[in-house]
Amino acid sequence: MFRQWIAFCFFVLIATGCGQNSTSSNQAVLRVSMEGDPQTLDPRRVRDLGTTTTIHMLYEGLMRNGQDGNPLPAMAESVEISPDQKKYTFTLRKSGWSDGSAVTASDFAETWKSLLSPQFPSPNAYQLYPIKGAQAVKEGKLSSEEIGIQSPDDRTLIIYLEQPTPYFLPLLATHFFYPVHSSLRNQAADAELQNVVTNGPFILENWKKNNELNAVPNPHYWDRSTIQLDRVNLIVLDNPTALKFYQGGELEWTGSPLSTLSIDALQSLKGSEDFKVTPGAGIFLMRINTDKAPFTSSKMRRAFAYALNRNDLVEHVLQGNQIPAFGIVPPSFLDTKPHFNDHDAAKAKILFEEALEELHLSRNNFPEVVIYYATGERSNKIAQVAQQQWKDVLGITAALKSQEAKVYFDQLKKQDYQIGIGSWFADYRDPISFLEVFKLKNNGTNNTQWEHPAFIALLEKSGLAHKSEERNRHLKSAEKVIMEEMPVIPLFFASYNYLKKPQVKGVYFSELGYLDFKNASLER
Amino acid sequence: MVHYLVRKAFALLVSLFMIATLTFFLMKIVPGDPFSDEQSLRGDMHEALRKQYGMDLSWTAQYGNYLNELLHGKLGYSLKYPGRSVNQIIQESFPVSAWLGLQAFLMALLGGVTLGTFCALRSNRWEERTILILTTCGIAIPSFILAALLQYLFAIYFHLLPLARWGSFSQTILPTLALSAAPMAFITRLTRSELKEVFKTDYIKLVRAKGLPLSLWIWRHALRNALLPVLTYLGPLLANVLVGSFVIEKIFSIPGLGQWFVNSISNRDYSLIMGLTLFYSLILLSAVFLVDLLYGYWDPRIRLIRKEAYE
Repeated sequence: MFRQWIAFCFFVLIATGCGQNSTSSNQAVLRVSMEGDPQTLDPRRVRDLGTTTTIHMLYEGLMRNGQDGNPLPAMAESVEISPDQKKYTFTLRKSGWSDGSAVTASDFAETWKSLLSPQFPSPNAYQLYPIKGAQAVKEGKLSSEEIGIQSPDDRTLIIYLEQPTPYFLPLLATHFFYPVHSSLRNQAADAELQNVVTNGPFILENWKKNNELNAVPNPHYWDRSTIQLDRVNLIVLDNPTALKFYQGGELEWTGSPLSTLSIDALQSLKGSEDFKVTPGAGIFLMRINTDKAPFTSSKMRRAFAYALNRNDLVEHVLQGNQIPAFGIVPPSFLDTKPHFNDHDAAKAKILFEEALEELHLSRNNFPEVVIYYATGERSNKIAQVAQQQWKDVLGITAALKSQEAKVYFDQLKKQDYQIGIGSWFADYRDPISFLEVFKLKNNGTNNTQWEHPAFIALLEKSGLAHKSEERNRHLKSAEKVIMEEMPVIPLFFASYNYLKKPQVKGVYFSELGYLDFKNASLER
Repeated sequence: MVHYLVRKAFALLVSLFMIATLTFFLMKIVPGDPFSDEQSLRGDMHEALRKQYGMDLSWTAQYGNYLNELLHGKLGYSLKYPGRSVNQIIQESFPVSAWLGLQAFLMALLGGVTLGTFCALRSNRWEERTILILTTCGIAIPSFILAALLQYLFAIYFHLLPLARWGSFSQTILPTLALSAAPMAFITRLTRSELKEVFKTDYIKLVRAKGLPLSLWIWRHALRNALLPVLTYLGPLLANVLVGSFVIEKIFSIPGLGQWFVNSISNRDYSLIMGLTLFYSLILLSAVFLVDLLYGYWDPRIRLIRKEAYE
């Protein structure tokens, strides 16, 4: 009886094992692993970075970022900018929504108006504020008719700006400005998301929530002929499992931007030919609460900043090929020389002593230094390294306080912290997307209680500059100001690590943290 | 009997109400905001979103609104995933977790009772000792270590079974094994000890002395008495495996309900937290109630005691 039971079990095991499907077919299917499901398919409500890849797949805006990161005309065939740089006239191409209807200028106009309606729960409406009247309409001060957008005919779109905005075209290539089909616009904000009609290179074929998302080329897309993939599968997988699937040949891409390669695994993966690195438009930094002792003095803040050895951190601890940061703006955005030297222990010590005098403190009665951070592999390592390095150079032992993510963000918002580890990723391709964060004290993203009139003035001057050299000059000077004041300690610029099979070609990995599959192909 | 059912149903509703209230206020007390994250929202956008979802009102006002919606049968929408209703999320994920849970439950029950009986019959022999060691391992080893071990052995090393994900029957085998290990071990031990007690009774001695073959008396006379404590354990066990294990679902990338429980809290997704808590409570309370009813059917003595109590 017992032996028969064993035999039966064995048989079941073998039989089920034989039922494996092989994935060989003649279709070019790109399988990418993702850590979590897309948050939404409505570009107006996107809040998380991982979702932007799906949005860029399914939708297209007036402009689209090309392989060099600069915006190219997409839904718009051409653009005319007025001499005062406040009026943009777009001529749209002939292109279709996935249900066959044509994409018109009013699709764009109506989408943006819906976004700017005070009742619409959009987290990103402020990105549209460069448009004339947009902010006033969102705040309920004007009616939506007063927004500076006109669609005189189906293929002409005119946008009026509040003031000259040099980064307006890069902004139009972001998902904040993507159009939404009338069926989605007419849906109530809290209604259930039904089958979405989209206008991008791909359309949604099937979406098993928290499991797999399948997209196929959009037959009505204007540039359908350039799309070489037959299908894109985004598969929700746990990170270690995704790695094993990749190694087993069931995925063509894993790692950034949709998932993460664990730091511990990086060491062994680096030798692989499939391992790739690309710089990201983001910075990891430490915010300093400039209202809390002893960091009320900029000298003290600079001392702590100079004492850190960023090279050690990225090379030996994080090992993710990140670039040490000595400024706020990534080198690909603004080519500034470093504002200070790495691990400048001598200068750090001098500044520290000067700061002690300034604040009438001594090492004996030095206030406690606490590093706050949201629990996570990377932040944990950064905190420990910083603690060690500050102890070695300045003789100050900082305490570490790891908190659950939401609790940490809550404290940041209330400025109930001293030093906080964080990051900032750009939304669009322009240096001001980094510098603007710290422009005003009560900017929700600042949280350092720091603002400086010279900094604000330089940023505003840059907005009025007509020539890009003049503008960059102002931006570089602004960066100099913030580095002299050091309300934030720059650590390193982000880099994306991923694994990609050699047959995958043409995928554009934007610095902004999304993948563009429009020109991707799979070599046989 | 009807009287009994009505009282129980009323008690269930009262329990649900208390759970809802407690969860609601606990949820609000915990610091954190559904709309805060690394990138931080602009102050005015954040405020506008909070206002949209009624979070600028007092807690009691929000609670009142929630109860109002609940009484109309509306569980609300997820705050993190706009356009996805709590109902939809439960409807999509629960069947997956339930399937896995039921498989694990049946495996634990049948396997546990079988092994427990086998142990009791082979008392003090090597078979019993081996199984006892295995049960200790089963209870002590955390499910995620077991899951990783199973994955490594059967999927990566021997290539016998799929590594992860959900869809075909073979993909359910490893997660079921990982999930059922601890309950099966526990049921084995429980059955064994209870059965050993039953074997000492006079009526079993009589049945054995009469010469009845094992198959005729093991269920009718022995197990039926021994399994009462197992029945007690089964109620909460069913509820717990049915709603999905966060750990197993994460390791095997199974799109079930388990991950939603944990993720909704990390996301401070208030409407989802409430909906899931109520759902789980309903299942748990129903499972316990079912076991309660089953008691009466199982053991006539209890039926009589109850009858007397309600007269």
